Amino acid sequence: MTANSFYHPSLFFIAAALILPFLKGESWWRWLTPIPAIAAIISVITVKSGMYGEIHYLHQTLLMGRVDTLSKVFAHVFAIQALIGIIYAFHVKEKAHHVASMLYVAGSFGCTFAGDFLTLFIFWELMAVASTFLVWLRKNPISTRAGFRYLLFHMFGGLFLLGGLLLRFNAVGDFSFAHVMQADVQLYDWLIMIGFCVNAAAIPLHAWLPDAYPEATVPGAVFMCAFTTKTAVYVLARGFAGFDILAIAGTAMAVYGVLYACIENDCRRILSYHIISQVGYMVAGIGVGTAMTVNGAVAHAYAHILYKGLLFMGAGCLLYAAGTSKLTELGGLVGRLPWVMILYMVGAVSISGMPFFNGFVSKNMTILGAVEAHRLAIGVLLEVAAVGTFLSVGIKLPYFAFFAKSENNIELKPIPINMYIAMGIAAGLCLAQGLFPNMLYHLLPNPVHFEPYTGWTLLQAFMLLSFTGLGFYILRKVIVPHAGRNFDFDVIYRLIGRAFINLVCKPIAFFDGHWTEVYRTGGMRGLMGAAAGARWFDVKGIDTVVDGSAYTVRGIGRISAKLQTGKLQDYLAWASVAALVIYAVVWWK
Amino acid sequence: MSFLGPWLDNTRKQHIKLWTTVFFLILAVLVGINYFVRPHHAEYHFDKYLGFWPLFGLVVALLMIIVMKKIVFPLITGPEDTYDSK
Amino acid sequence: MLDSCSQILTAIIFLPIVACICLFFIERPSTVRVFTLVVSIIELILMKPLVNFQFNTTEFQFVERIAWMPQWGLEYYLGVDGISILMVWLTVGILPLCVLCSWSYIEKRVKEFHFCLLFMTSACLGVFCALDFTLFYVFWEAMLVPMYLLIAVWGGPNRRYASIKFILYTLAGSTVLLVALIAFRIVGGTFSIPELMTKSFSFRFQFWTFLAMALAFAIKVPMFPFHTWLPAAHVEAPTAGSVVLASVLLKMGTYGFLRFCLPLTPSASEYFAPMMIAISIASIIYGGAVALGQDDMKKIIAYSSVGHMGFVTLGIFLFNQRGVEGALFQMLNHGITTGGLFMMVGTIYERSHSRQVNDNLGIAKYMPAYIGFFGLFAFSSFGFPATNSFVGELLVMIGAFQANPWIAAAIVPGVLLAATYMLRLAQKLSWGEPSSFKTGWKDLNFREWVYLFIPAVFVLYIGLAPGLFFKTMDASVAGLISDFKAKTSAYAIEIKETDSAVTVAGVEKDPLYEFKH
Repeated sequence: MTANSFYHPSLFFIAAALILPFLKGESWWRWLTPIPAIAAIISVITVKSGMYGEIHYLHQTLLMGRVDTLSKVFAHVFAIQALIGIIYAFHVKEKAHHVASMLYVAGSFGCTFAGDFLTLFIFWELMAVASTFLVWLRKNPISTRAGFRYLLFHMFGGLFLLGGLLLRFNAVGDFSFAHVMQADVQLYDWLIMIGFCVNAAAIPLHAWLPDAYPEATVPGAVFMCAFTTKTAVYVLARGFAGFDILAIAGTAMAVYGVLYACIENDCRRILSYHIISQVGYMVAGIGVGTAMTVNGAVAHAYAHILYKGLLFMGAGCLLYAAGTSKLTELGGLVGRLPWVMILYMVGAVSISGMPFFNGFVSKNMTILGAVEAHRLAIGVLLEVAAVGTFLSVGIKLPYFAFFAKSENNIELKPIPINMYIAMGIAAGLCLAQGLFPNMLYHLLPNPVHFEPYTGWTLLQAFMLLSFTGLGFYILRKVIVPHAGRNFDFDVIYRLIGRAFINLVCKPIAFFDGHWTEVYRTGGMRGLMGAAAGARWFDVKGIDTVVDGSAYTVRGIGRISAKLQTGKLQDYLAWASVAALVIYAVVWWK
Repeated sequence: MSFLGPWLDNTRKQHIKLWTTVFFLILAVLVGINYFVRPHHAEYHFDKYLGFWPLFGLVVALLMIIVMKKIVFPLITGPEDTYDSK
Repeated sequence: MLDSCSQILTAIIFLPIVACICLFFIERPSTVRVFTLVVSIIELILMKPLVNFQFNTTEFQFVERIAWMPQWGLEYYLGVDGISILMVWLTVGILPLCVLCSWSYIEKRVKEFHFCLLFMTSACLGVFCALDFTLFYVFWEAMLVPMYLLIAVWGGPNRRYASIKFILYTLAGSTVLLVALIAFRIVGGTFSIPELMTKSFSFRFQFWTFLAMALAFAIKVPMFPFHTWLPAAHVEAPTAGSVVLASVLLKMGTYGFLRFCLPLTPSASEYFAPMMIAISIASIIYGGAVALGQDDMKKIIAYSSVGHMGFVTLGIFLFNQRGVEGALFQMLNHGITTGGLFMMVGTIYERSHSRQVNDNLGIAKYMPAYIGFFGLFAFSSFGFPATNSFVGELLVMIGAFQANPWIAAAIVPGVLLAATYMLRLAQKLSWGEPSSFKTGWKDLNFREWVYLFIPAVFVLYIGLAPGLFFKTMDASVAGLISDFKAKTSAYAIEIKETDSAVTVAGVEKDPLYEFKH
């Protein structure tokens, strides 16, 4: 069972991350960066299901390589996206960026293949830290602060996970990570789920995502959008499939995300809210828990990584070229960036579920699965979210970024060819999977009894999308973006943080500063008084010791003045005399 | 491929009326097809009716834009740099 | 007692003293530094026989026992077990690092400085190896002298205040410890610690001696609310002084708990455990909360020490294998990590001459290697996985969960606090807005690389492969706990028997007895 013929993809990325800092040179080493991704792809495609990599750590047996259909499908898309992301980031000459992204991907693979909670936790924390660097490396004050908030929040989530797994360890006796039935759920399972939900950006633990992702570096956001949330989706699918609360939370996420996206100005923030929305589909699918919806959730995750990456790449190109991602400042750029627009639109129609692209073959599986499981409300709300998705990402964003204005003379930096190549690959895969859905379906964990292309489904999709377009057309003057930062749950987090600092830390620091005074005035005078008082009494037992040490202390005080002249030997003599006095007294008794 | 940019620019400025007409035509055609093509088993009960999905898409889109932009947005928006200075 | 024919412990304790004497004859500061460094390396080499430490026994090893003053039962009695051997290694390992990090830091009275370092090492080693209570006390007190000097002579602007405060606090505690020592001699009849460990004392006796000893050790650790000497001492002490204070001296307090309070006064320890656990939790949270509001780098790390040592004392008073092992682990890890952090502060101080965070912002661009090391030590400080502190904290948390889930729930915010202040410091140092005078600063030179690289290696080694350290402490900790449990349950049975006797008598004397029958 523990065969060695599985090369854990994390190893490739960690090795690359460790070697990279030591390679000298301006840029030749960039050609080496795709190697771990290619190796990972080969490894994932060729591995057979099984349990690999048992190691012993801290008296426990840890399982690093749990390979089955569920983990393989996620690893499959992670590897492909890693390659795309690395190609997209090829122009970055800063090694720290590549190291951070590789460690991040390594963490994600580690979580995917983890067979026990401790391994999961270790790689979970690695993901959190490495992705923070992708935010910090933008190196402006806003990003620095955003990264700090991001890391803190993820540490907070990680602590829930840690608390839950330790509590579970106490109750169950090991760290094994397996599916939990809703009927048997315990407190520690809830804690673990909360930890997972932080990474999945479930409401109300989601505000870190739209806060930090727009502040990440241009290629960094492409990595981040794929891995953190989908790893969380994977672990939720593994451990908590069938939990009702996830179905409800997911639906809420799906709708909440698109609502905010309608009123946002920063195009990467719009996309970030969309991540919440799309992950909501997946979480809802997992929550409903039937074979079809879980399949749908996984398929959706796979497709989402590809098209979301593409969308972030497009928006990243805008940011890179124009220096801003705010829709109020962009606009009218279709003439100058036509290919960015086209490739972006591929992603946009994929996410909206337009037929012939991969979103269509995955999204409907989830929705119809929910409906067939008699969760009509969920199905309807997910359709509402679909409308909103097309509205904001499919129409609003490209319209105001590329059209809307007739002239835009903003200066555009030339976009390096690697970015186009990466986007092209992603777009190609989106289209290919849409036209040949079996490319995706054969990877899914459960058998697929779903026919995506029927006359009706095609018609329904086209009708829904085009009339949404009509709605946009009618209200196109209303939906114009305005500059502004919308308040989300992060307001609450900041309030809590600030309250804690003001109510707890500041008073404690104040108190601590004064506590010292208490000791000095009270304690010191007390001691001196005792010493003086003791002088007047007969020397016996404890009094002698206090007296002696008080004398010694005062003697030291006087001697320290002498020490300025450096007579160390004198002091030592004094100290030995003092010691001898004390011991003599002790042994007198 | 450098013709693509100017061509797109040109077409959106010059021929906007043409594109809009095409768009409305497609909408009409879709509704027309919907008259003939219905789902075998209506999942939502209502989608067996003609024009359900078009109406759904349109109404939801309109509602979403109006509610979010006109009602919610003024309530929760703040200046762009709210979080920047600390 | 396992005997070893070599007097290895005496050698490592007294080699620094001999070196001190030799220092009297050396004049040039550079020679002094090299000499001390060489001595410290010789000391490390001398430790080689200690590598043959047996893992599976609870007995003391490398024992030396000579009668010192037979009429009072005083012996020169040394030995190590799983608990103390790690501290011995830590002490010997810290000395060369201290010498290296003071190389360019100390300019005046170099000879006396190194004299203090050597003397301090000697005293600390004696504390950890002593198996005679009085000998322990002699070394305990002896350690105060050089520490005081390190602060008072080579310290910052407020050094007089800080050094006197340090001495007074610690002496106050030691005084009470002396009382306990005498009491043990009177009641137990011997100064020998292993023999005292086999005796059992009445609860009343244990009660008072525990309080006395706990006070002394609590001041040393330091536990809230006796901690206020620590920030002052750290801020004013020179780098090497801070390093040895944090790495070694603080451990003496917790070592004292493990060596004295638990084996000698087990019932009282159990009785006071809730209080000690509460104080530990308070230390963890308090230390973290205050650290968050500080602007002086050394103060941040000083308060973080209060927090970390809270973890240690918490682990000790959980009385289970995981908790005590975690505590010992943390003692070792804290020594390495916090020692490393203080060395880093010293390194940047040598360049900027300021310990204020706001004077040291944004140095990642100019000193990437420095920030790399700082990042590693910072992550270790809050227990990030794969670092040494993760192992220790995880064990303590497992132990806490085993004892009582509420305790564990109470320390989780402490972990988050630790992450917060450490990350805030790391972020400001790396990417804050740099001030204008940074461009002249050079990144780490070779000497600095050496003294930062060595603890960094251990941070990762202990974090990834802690097996060796586990083996070292396993047997002794298990022995400590089983003895503890045996004694406390024996005491509980004793209480029950007297209780039941009383109950039986009580029934017979029931005044309503006739009315009921």
